[in-house]
Amino acid sequence: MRLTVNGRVHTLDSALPLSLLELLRDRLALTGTKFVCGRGECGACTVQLDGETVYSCLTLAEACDGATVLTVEGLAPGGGEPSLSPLQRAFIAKDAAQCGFCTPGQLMAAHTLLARNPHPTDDEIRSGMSGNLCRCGTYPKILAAVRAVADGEFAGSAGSAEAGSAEAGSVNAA
Amino acid sequence: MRPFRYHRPASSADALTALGAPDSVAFGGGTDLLVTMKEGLAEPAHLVDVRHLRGARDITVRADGSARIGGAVRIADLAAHGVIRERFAALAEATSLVGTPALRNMSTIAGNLCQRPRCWYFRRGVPCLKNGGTGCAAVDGENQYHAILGGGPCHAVHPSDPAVVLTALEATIELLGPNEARRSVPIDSFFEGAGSNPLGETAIAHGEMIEAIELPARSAGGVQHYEKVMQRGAWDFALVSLAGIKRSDGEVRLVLGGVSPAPYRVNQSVEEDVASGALDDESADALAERALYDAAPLSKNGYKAVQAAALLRRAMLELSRA
Amino acid sequence: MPRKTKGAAKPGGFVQTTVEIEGRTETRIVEIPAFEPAAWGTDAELGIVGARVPRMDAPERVSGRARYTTDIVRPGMLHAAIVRSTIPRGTIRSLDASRARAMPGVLDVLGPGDAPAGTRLFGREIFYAGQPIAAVCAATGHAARSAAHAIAVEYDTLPFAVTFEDATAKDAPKVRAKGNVMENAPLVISRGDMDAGLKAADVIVRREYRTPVQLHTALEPHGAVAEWEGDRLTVWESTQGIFRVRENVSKALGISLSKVRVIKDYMGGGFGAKNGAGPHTYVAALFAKRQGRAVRCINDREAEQTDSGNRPSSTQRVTIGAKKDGTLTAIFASIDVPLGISGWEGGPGQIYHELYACPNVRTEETFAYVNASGMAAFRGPGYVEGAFGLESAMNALAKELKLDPVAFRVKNFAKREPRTDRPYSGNSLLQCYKEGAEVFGWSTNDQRPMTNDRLRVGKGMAAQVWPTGGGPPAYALVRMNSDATVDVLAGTQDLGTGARTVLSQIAAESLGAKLSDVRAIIGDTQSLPYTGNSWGSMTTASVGPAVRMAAEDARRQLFEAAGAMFDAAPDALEARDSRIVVRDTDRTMTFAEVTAKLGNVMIIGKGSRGPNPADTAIMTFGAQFAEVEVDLDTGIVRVLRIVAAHDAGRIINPTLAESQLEGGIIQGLGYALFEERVLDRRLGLVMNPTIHDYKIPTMADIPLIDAFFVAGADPVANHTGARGIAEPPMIPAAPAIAAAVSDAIGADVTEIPLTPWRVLAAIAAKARR
Repeated sequence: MRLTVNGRVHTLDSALPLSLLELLRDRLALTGTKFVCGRGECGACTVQLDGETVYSCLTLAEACDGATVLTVEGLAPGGGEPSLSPLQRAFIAKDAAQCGFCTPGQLMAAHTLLARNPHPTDDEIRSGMSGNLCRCGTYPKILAAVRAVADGEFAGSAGSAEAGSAEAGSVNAA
Repeated sequence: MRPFRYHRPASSADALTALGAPDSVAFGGGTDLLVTMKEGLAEPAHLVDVRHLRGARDITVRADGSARIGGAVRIADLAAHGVIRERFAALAEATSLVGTPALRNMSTIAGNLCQRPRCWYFRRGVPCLKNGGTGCAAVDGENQYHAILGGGPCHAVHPSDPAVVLTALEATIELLGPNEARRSVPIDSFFEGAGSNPLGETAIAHGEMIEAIELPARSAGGVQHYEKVMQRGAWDFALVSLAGIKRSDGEVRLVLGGVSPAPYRVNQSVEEDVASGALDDESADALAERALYDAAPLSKNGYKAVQAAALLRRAMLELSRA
Repeated sequence: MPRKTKGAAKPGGFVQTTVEIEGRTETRIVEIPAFEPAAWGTDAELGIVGARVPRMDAPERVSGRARYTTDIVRPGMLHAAIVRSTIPRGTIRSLDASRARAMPGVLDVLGPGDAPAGTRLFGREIFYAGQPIAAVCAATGHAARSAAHAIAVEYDTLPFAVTFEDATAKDAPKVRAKGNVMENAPLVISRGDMDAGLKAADVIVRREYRTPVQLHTALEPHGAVAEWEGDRLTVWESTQGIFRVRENVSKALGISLSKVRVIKDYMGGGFGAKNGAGPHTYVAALFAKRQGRAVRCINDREAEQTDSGNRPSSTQRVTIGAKKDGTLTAIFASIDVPLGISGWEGGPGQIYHELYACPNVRTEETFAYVNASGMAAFRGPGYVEGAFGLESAMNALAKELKLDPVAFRVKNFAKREPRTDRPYSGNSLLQCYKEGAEVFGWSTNDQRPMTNDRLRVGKGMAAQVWPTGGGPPAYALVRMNSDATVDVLAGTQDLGTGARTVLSQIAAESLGAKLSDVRAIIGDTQSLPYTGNSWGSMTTASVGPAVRMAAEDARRQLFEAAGAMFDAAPDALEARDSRIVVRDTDRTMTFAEVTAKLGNVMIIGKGSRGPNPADTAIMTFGAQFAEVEVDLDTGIVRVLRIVAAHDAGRIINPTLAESQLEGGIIQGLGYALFEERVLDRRLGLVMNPTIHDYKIPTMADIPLIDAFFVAGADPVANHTGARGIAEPPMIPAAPAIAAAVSDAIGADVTEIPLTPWRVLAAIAAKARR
């Protein structure tokens, strides 16, 4: 079976695990995507599959032959902070991650939402993100982060005057 | 979990051959089937992925107003489809309220109709009727989410939103079986016996699959209404839902969800009264009461009758004014 | 100001002090620090402390690089799964693992009699459904889980009780070996004279309030990875207390503390349920020893929802009276709490004694054991439940008195902590009422336009108190590397609260370093000094002062070294942005220039947390205001708006602190509207152990939230001026929402969660009257 994950093509042949999630975490060591319920109830395992938001815990691994998958590890191709995506930078600046366990799923749901609808209303964000539960209650901040990206607040490359570094700068100037 | 083989047939003939094997089931999104497998409630030996068959993901709209929905059409596709939204607005509305965005992307309309009840006694493996036992554990138990109409012996409710609308639209389920035999089953017959059949809630026989769903021309257009009461703002099954249709020929269909082992069409005399003229608040109240005359709530779900009455009143007033 | 309780206050000496944790008071012997930095008062000029600094570990959290216990992979690692009882009470007649052992990949099984007594694992007697009875170790998680299902267990069942009523009935079955009710029941706390108080009242309100069992539902389940090297054990554990896990494991397995290392880097939520080692920890350690390989044991979701702690339910019968002018004269509550099979008396009673100045207060709490999994601390334990009873009764009484609920509370404001009659270290509750009401628009009668006459809008409010002083022991080191980067070392935990960031801010401020040069290293018992559990909202107030002292100590050493280089007196030096300045001169040197010259001669500052001030109540306060919309036909409640004003002393990082407020409010919203463990009384089984059937709020349920802190600092509490904030915002949320629902429907609501059936029942009851 062939699977493209974060731009890399993997050829997998031996017995596959049940779910795409197990394949990502256990076989490809991409542990950013989280297992929480295994029943499609929480969204922690959300990834992008062929351009769409899916729960990888209920995506049959064998059915993914030929598919293209994007996970949280693929949002920032360089992996390091300078190359974080606008959405990731917005999550940092708006404090949209507390414990962070749901965050990879939230990011993937938001990423796909914005790819398909770059200028959502707040209600569209709320309903578009309603399949991703957060127990710490970061929802207001997640909404603010997605809103900010939709409004172009984090457009442009990292290292420009984004809120994160701007605020850090103001600290030292304070 | 029992080991299984995954099949991805390219033709209906291959799919039917695979489905003919013992313990073989059709596989769509897997959003419920995989859960029931993890729960030990389903132990299929073969999963036959029917999403890649010709036409399985097609929505065909015809000049006469009718439409044909391939069994593997995804819930999200139905919710977003322009002609469906225009002609079968209630179906678009119901599909947009299914689960979550990810679940709507993953699940198919056929799988949605075939999902098992969410009754927690069933899902927890309590030996009830659906789990090989005799009685219904909910009757004297935690039945706040169970049936108030047409329940028994099983009181689990059918969880599907689209099924409620498809019943109001008088859809036909096109089944494809061994030797490519086709049969058309009206949706109310499709769910007949949902409350008494221990093995499932549908009329699908072993070796069969849902090829498509036919929406008749007579149900296109008119006034279409779907309302769903959810505990949370999103991501809930209906406590009570209602599909209310006033067809362009003037006929009215009222179907309740969340109250019964299968979508529950209210007494046709009530539908006729709604069709026959303008209602006021008082007559709507009386009609709602008549529609729910047979309601027999269990110990903890009497509230569903109140909600159902409210939804009926709202829909009936809207339809009668249309 | 006094900083001691008993004994000599000489630096380096030891004294006895008290610490309040989760509403309990503990007496401890602690060391007096060698020196105490001068307190940062309200007018202290601080640059980094108090700034909205982005969470420093956020890049890891948003990139998938943060490694949680469930992500830990060790070479050759095996997997364990726990087998749990399917009946609530009885004994195991037989347990047959032969089929499981024969399954592919299965290596080992532990059952009754196989675990050391200290682990309390795998007894034959069953006390609740979900109790661990055996465990399987296999090459993969899938193989371990499959084998766990293949273990055949036969039980001899016994009668059981899962409700308070059933467990306390005359002919109740024996829930456990000892009695069904906690010893010395009821627990009575009393002041004044209840009869006189009731006699003095012009208006008396009597109500019975009920709260549900709430499940923590942390998204990362309890879990551990264990690995032995010879006789030394390393445990990676998703925990709020690495040192407590170390102590638990040491005791349970009979190995010395120095041979157990507990590591916790990132964790996916705790909320009170992850305060020590658990069956998963011992199972991983035991299998790892037997197999000579690392073993991972992570709870599955069902175990997480059925056997990893909960907030117990309560029934609170409240009688509350006041004079016509609103002066409270009597507060009485008789309270029943079914704890589960184990637990402590962190009941609803205490807040009844602490929130208002009322001369006559009495609570009688009865804690019963039932055949269900034991309770655990859960964000504001006891106070969250108690606030629903007390604050709902206060709102009902305000209505009877025709008094504004805010004015009624202001009237009964406690100038001293009323339960213990101590002064407060600081208390801006009145300011919280005022600012909260202003922001909410409490006194204006503007109603949102209604969509139709069946959608009703209502508003309500409630207040909160919670002990948040923190306390000793807590230690920290601040270490300067030769490139002037700074490591803050403290054996604490970041649950998602922002501890790493907050401690770094305190260290940077104290040291005069750039924040970007400072890194907090936490979560490892082997290399880091002791701090206590991250519970009781006390990490910032406990560890923060230790970090500040360590940083001041490091700065003193840095100035000594720099003074020699400058040929200046150390006390003539100042530091800011990692640069040292000789006061009143233009002579400066960067930290890096100093540390480069020092090379590997290290500056290591040491800090510890001193005792709390004697006889002083250190509390966090707040008031919340809610606006809801209720559909009178369906009973569905939507919360439209919450305004929250809290007083937690100095706020080290407003952004992170506001996140804590929002999180607490949202968990309180879940408690008010959705969350309820459903246990079938006949079967003794939890019916909703999934994240869908146990409903927590989604993004679609979130109102507009305006949560903020009133200005101020609390230099009496400790020298950073900060108190705790994690738990307080959860306490008033549910009663504020319930009051708003009550306002909308014009009828009392006395039981949460406010599901449609309860709201419709309240409306119907009103219609019948």
